[in-house]
Amino acid sequence: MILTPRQKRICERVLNAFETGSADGDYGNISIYDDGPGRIKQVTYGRSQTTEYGHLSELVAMYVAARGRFSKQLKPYVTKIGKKALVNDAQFKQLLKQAAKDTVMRRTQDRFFDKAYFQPAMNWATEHGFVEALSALVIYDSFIHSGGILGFLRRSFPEAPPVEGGKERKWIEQYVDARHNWLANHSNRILRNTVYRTKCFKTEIARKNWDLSQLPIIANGVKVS
Amino acid sequence: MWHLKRIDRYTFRGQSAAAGRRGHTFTAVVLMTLLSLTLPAGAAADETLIPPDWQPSLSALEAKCKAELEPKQGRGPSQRELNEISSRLAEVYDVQLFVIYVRLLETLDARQRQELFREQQHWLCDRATKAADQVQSKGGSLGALEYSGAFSDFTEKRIAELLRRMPAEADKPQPIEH
Repeated sequence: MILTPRQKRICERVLNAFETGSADGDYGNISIYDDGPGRIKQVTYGRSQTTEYGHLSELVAMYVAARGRFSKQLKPYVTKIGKKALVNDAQFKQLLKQAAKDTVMRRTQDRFFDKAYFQPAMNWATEHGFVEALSALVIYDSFIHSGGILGFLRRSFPEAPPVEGGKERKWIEQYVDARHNWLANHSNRILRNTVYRTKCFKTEIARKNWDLSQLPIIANGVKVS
Repeated sequence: MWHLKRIDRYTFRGQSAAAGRRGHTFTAVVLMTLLSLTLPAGAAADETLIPPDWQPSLSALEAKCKAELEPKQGRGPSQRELNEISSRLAEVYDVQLFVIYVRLLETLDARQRQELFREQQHWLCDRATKAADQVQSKGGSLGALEYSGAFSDFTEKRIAELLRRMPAEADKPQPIEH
């Protein structure tokens, strides 16, 4: 799947709005959730939220190698992240916050999240025969939000993906409907609050914005252009 | 929810306006004090360990979290905000459960206390496993919300269960008049 730089930028900005409430994203955000191994608390950091026991060490190592303003101070942490709990290390968290103001960290995060989420999503799209920009946005959203295209959702609607002879637009429409119904009727009520994502996609499908040229796109109340 | 009204019967309304940081501090004080009440193994059901008119409330904190879920100026909470609110709500429910558990313990004899302790220990392990099993979005930002939402759901059900076992108000030890 090939997107123009502009289409890719729109996809990123829509996802930033969904995730952080700002189309520009929040590079310095630090959250603490008890979603580490064995449900221990862990640091979650950055524009698209990478975790202490996930890929944070990789991100920090990339930043250190890129010789950012705080690379020297963050270097000793590279080998500690994911091995020693840093959730209460105020200095570490402060350094991450400060580094987020450095353009080197911003570029590093863009490269990192591209590799961790965007490229796998585009690989999946290509393997399944998708070519349209709105399809890319829908698929990328699922990789960010759910870690991928969930199997049980795929099995819940009849259209085959384009690689198997199905129609791309029909598949995307049915997939968005399936995802919307799953979230809107989820037994875990708090998940219902996330339907602004699928509502946004339904709007773009309805106005046939398959090349993402009609702007702005309203992503959870944020105008993305 | 019906059981929260029942919890209010065990709450001290004068403190319920506390919110945010003050609410957290208050909660911490309540917990530390309750924890310090190490229940003696041989204590009988009629021993009053907790002053009857001391009834801390978390309902203001819970209401504050729920209000944050509402859309404002055409915008609902972002995924990051939802994860944070849900995580806080899960903690509020867990603290509510803790208070109810201690209050129920107080009404039991030594043998029943041991039984409830073991039951609760088992339930806590079970909750962690079941909540983790509810996560379908592994590796995605929704995963944390799936976990904390399920955690809250199981905790609310347990609160209701323990409240059902609580003796009626009339059967509870009455405060001593001086």
